[in-house]
Amino acid sequence: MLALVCSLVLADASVVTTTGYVDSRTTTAQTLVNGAPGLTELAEANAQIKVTPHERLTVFADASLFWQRAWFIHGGDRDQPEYRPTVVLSEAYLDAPVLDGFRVLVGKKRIVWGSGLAFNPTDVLNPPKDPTDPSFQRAGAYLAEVEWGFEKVALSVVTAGKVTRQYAGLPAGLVWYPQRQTAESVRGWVADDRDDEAHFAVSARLYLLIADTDVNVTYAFTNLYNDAFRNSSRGGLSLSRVFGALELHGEASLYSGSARVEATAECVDAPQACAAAGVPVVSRPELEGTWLNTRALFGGRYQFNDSALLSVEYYYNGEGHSRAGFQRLATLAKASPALLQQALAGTSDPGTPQKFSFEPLRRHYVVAQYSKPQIFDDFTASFAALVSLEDLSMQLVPQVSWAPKEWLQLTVAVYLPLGGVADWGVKIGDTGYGEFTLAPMGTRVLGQARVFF
Amino acid sequence: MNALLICTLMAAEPAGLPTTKEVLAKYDAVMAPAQFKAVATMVAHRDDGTTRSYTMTILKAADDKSRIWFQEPAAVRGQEMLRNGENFWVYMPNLKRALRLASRDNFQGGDFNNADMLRANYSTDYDGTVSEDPKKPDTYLVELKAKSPDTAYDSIKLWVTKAPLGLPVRGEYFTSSGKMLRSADFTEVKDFGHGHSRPTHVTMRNEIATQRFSELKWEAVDVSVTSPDSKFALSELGH
Repeated sequence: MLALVCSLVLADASVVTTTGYVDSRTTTAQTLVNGAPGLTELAEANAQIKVTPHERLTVFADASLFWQRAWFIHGGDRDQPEYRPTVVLSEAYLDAPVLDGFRVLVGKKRIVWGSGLAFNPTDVLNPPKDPTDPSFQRAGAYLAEVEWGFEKVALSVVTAGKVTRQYAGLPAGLVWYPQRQTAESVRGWVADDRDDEAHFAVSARLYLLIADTDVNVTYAFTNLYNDAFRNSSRGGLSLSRVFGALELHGEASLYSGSARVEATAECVDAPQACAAAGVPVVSRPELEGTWLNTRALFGGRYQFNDSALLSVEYYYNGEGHSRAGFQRLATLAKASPALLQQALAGTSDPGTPQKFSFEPLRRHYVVAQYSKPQIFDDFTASFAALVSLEDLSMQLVPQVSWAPKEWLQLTVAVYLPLGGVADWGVKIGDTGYGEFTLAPMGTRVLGQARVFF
Repeated sequence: MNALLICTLMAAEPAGLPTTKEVLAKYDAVMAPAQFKAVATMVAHRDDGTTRSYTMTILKAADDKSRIWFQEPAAVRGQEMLRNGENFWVYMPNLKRALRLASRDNFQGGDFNNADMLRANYSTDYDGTVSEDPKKPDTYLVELKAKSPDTAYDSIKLWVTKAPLGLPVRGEYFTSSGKMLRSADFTEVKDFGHGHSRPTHVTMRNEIATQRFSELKWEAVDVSVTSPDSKFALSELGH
């Protein structure tokens, strides 16, 4: 198979397209908890190669090498595993349109069917993205897809396997856990996370273009794939339509139960004692629930006459906590962040390191993004706000980008968490917190330079 | 009201002039042949005198299907645009998915809009009158009104050559309030073979920000290319 692909790739008739970039992200941050770095550098070299040796075959790869380092770590400098050099293989696949309107695709690919920008409630396949800059996550899932696609109708079926073990960004286990226990778990540093189950997802999508509206009806069956659900079925619907200069869209997923992690009430103030006594500090009490749950998003985009673009989306997260539940979880997070992080971990393949990582823990959010190009020369001013409607805490991201050359982009962004209404947030000790002020870092300033080639 | 106005204007068309339908059919055959594959470059000139250049491949089939692949610059390589009927999408490689667009949204930050590039079928979208313009004796003046609000402009003044009929020379593009948004000059007519000649250089001036303009240069056009309908399916974008 490899020889066949290589011979096709090297054939004279091959069409080869290459692109990529070199990127540097330098971030300074106000650190709030032990382990949070005050200064980080993340350098990325990316290459994207598309080879079409035959009109019925395309080979594509999108890979990045990351060098990263953290300094001025709160509580004392130390080795931080999450800041080690890594590889991110965002996509690598064979795409064979074997007939007009019918294709088979095998490899790693990001497939997104939903119309949402900041969140995709119907997406069960991919690593999470930054809701304040969704374009920063290009990493997909290891999958096989067959698709029948025509002008007004398409049917896609995908089966995907979870990366169960990954080192430096490269997979070492897929679908099933490796037989060998990791050295870290043998030494007792982390729990042995292995099981003997298949971690997979099967997903299908029917696309219809009806009355100038994109309609996607989806179904997914997952087993311990990116979340804790076993043998779980989910239905989904996504719509998108343009009315004049206004684009409106909606996307919703319907399923049963909840994978929400809840802190055990009696363990909130003494998690170590609970752990020593064998009492679970956190649990997922609604995992087997038969009640209908939903995650949904509605929003719109509008381009003004001066090319400024406004996007506003409302997101309902059926996995979100009540205020009391959030109070317990937040208290636990402050007392034992590592323990909670371990409980929340969903996927071992987080994809591209994000500028802002966010796991929504409440129910109601609004995401607004506004950008105005060419405010002066090739300067673009943009602004993103992610607001938790339950305590009005928010993450604000004002940003200025400048493209002095077609191949160069310079960006300065500020990540500013605001606490919201004190009475609507949670109180830990004598301090009030909003959802966005619980993060290990306060205000961050990011400088980025990207050179395209 | 618009229909009544158009009917009245059409009824007033002087004898001896070609009909609006004839002129627009010729214009469409020149500027938007039923099918073609082309390579074009758009150069956007900014207020400060700097330029941005975009190279693209354009594929068109039937009257309402078009697709564009961007090759340069590297920052937009892999981006694609698709039109199918009244629907426009842009495929963003960084998002790995397509977004819906409005036809009036501007095209790559230049002075053309999406409809200028992907929806140049004036016979379908506009109606109006043909008259002589004493200031440009070699041309007919075609004054057009949009048939629907989905078009790029509410009204257009178009000057086309008398012989051969329908080659555009100049266009002026207006909002519903009568404000001129853009003006275009069409120059450098070239024969691309298979009986297809067209202006290869279009200069679109922004009449709001008057320091700005964009040039579109048609480098290659092949009207003998046929494409299967599946090339214009949304699911094809990004592959």
